[in-house]
Amino acid sequence: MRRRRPRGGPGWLAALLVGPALLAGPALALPTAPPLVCDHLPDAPACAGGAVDCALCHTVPPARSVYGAQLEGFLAPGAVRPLTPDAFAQALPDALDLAGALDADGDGASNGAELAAGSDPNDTASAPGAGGDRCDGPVTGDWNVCTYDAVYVLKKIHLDVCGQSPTRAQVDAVRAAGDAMPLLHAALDACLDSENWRGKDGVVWRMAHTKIRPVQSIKAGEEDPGDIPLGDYFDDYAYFVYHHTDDRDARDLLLGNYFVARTEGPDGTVYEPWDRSFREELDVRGFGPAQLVVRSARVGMLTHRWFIMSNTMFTAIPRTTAAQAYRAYLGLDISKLEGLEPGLPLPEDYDNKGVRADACAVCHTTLDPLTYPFTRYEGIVVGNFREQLPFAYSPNRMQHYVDTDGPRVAETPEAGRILGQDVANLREWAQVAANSDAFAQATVRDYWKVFMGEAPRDAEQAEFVALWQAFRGEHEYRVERMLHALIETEAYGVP
Amino acid sequence: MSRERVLLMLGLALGAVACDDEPAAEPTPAADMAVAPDAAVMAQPIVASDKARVQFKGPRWANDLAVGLNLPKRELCRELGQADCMDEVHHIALGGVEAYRLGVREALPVAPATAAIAAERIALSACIKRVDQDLADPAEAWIFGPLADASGLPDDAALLPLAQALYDKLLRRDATPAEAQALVDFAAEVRADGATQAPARDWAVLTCFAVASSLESLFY
Repeated sequence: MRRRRPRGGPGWLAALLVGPALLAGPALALPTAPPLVCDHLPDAPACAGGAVDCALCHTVPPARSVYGAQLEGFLAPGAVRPLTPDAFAQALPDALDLAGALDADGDGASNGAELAAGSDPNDTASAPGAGGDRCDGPVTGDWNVCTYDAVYVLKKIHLDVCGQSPTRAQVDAVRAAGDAMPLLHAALDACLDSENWRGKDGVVWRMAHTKIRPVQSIKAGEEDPGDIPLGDYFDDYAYFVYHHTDDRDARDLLLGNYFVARTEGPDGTVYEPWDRSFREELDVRGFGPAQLVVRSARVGMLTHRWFIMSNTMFTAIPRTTAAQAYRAYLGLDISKLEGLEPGLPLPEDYDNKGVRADACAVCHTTLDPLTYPFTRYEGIVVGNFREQLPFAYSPNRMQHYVDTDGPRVAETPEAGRILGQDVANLREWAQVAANSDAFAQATVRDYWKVFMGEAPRDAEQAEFVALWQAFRGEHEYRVERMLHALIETEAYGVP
Repeated sequence: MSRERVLLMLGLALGAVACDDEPAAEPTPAADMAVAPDAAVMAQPIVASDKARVQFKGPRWANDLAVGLNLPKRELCRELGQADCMDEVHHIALGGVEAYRLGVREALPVAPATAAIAAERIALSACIKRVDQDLADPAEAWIFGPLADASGLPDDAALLPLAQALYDKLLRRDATPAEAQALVDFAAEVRADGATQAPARDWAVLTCFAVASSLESLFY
């Protein structure tokens, strides 16, 4: 079946910039390249989402993969570099065809055959399957590798979610069942309530490590405090697990204006939301771990004290904060040239950092407007707290940075831009982010990696796309609903 | 015969059973040490998976080991008698993370060379604990109670249910006849080892170790 590229979302979102690596000289973004590959190879499994992944042609952009290197050799050879976008687009189809006859990874299958089959032309260990008739005869072995194997799935559910293998009785029940699917869903439900899944240091908690990036030596709070207490990241973990468990909307990770407390009860870990005013919070917890952003300015985890403390720190225009939010919750890593919006004007250089230089503007045209909504949230402050309160929302914050960053820094707007949309402040930023394809893709991809042990393979792209689209749709952003669909996929259920 | 040699012999014998999925062929030295593979396995070649997606259990392996050997997880193995092998000493090597102090936020993408060594240390330690407890208190024994009163290694008929129990407890399935017989046959190697003073204990520890550290135990 030919799959068309989804419409409605910005096409460049999924794009990784194949273009720069294919061009010599200064970095030049050609974010149309990944979908162009799919325009020419629409039936390739890797094109189920409308655009190939950057890893097809790059290791870490702009460095090329072995296949990318072969492709580049056929891309308008002899033409003056860098190619214009139009010249690139015109040359790409022929280059894909010519490179398709070669075998970049030396596994005996041509690049074209690998792309058609959904295997990776860069990976010797990935080749088109034995295929066809291998499943025509009787299936032998412990697992049924030719169709959905309920016992195999039961074992995986228990290990992936509960953290240990099923009992023999559980296996026997599934083996004996005419329709094992209800038992599998019941097993998943039971495991989703296990401490291994939702407790402290459980699976969901550990998924948050790369988003929260804890550092114990500067942890505040009563539990495991560090020597220099600056913020309590356990607030962030509790908030993350709360929104990824039970029947909760995962978008509130970026939209909630409350906090979540964790308690260890006799029946396991309990997460409960709480809300206090600035003054109440100081009275209850003291300054050490207090969340100091006023309720009206809270934007989920993006304005938790730990997040703005550890990312913004002393920075006037906290690009690191915005980049981490983009990477952690939308899966877009600007350091890998992901999520760049083409065609934007050069950014104003409010803090005199040289962001308009050619080599810098490639990223900063996107990154700087992405960052402006974060500029009113204070990081670490050294000085008089009566004038400048740390970890808090401050509409006049930029005035405090004129001495260090120059007079123009005070002109930095709070309004910015994300995913092709102008936004007035961080709340609007978060609303665009939470409702984006990128958020759904990133969330589902995180769980896919937990359940499969790796990112979706090319041959699994169709199921992956269907899953994140269902997460946005029928699952209403409930992680557990999505997981019930995930265990029914061919990718999970066929050994 | 040294313990290392005993381990090597056992590994080769079990490996020969586990890997012998080819139709009948000329006997090899390794196959000679093992029993004939099961007829059902021999009948047809196994249909291979296109995906070849196998995951290391990592810290989950210790959970299975604790359940299988009926030991508290923290007692499976303690380096120097103090530090928990799984949750502390070898945690990162065996696929764990330590984000707060070490900044290891994701499991290592490739298992380090020490992972196999660490897994073997944990398996051996846990099996020694299980066997010693069973032999010291046969009335409450989990697997190896029948060996408590034996002056030497019992005959094969007495060892067979113990071999089957190992597969039942550790891998949560029945042993195939060939798998169980391989463990029983290993007793002959132990009997022939004049150096050991406790052949029943050695057989129990090493057969437990062989199953607990098998690929099937460690991966899924």
